[in-house]
Amino acid sequence: MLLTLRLFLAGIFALAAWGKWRERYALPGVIAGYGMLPAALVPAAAAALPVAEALSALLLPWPATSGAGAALGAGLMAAFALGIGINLARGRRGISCGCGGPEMPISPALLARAVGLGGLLAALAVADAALPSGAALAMAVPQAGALLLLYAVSEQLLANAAGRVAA
Amino acid sequence: MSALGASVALLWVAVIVLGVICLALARQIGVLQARLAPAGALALESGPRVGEAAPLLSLPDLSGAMHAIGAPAARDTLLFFLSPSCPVCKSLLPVVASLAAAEADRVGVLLAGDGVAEAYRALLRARGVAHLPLVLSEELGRRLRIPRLPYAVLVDRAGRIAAQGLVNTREQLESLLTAQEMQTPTVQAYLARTPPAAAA
Repeated sequence: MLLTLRLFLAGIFALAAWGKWRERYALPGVIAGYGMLPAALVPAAAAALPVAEALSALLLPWPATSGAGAALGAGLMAAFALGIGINLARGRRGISCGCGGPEMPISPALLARAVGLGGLLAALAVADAALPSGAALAMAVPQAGALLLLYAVSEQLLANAAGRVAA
Repeated sequence: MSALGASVALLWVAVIVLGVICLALARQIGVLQARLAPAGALALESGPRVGEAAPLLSLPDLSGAMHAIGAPAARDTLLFFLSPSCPVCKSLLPVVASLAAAEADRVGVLLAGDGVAEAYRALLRARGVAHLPLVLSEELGRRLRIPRLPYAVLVDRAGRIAAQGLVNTREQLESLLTAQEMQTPTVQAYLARTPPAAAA
């Protein structure tokens, strides 16, 4: 069960890192759009963000490094939630999420998602990281894969809904 | 492998496949939404082109008041060609009336037909739009070469044809006003010039 969640979250970070890497030329503009960092730090943040996400994805599945990966991921999610929350409070709903999935503006749903995933990661950071045995080990991969698919579907539907409102 | 194990394995395969299908469908919905564009009225390649002067005519409506067509006016004129024997015309009449009310400051609506006045009066009364003026003129339809009904022609303040087309829906009727705002002969021409943004 815990392994399933770790694989699921690793998959989320892997997809997010891949998405940000594909959009790496747009990423500095997206980060600047949040208006949270001084302009001098934006290029460094844009370079570091996909690397940090990929690192979290790589660390999460293994017992020895799972805690560190979850802690790193929880920190990232806290930063995302802060960025989205502050900009929603500022009333700047038009800015791009830049989350790595389909293009969409920030929204309360994305804030809730970041908070939820961050809480899950924080719990995993302190949870028992030992690998299960037998069938539980074998089933963790398809379970995580199914969760990841549903996550991708929900992300696409969120983006669709945002597009419909904007149109 | 036990029967139960095989069944569980098969179910996982089914769940993953269904998940992939759901994702593909959701993405396709996103693509379709990105490609949805205002539906333009179908313009047929006959009669005076957009930008040309409308025929200059002065015609009485059913109540006897005179309407000048093609002459400089304070508002644009939307000519809506209809016939009592055309079912789509009937269903569009309330839409025309609501458009006339909503855009009253920039567009005056003039219904146009050809035939028996009493049949038109009955049609307008039945659809609750008896307040809209209607001119009966075979010449107007002929000079504008109205190919099919319901057809709408937007004549601008200077007496030139601003937009025209076969209209079957509210969107198509409104597209004539949109086409005029966008300074393009038809919405189709505008869309052909700017292809919709590629979807994710």
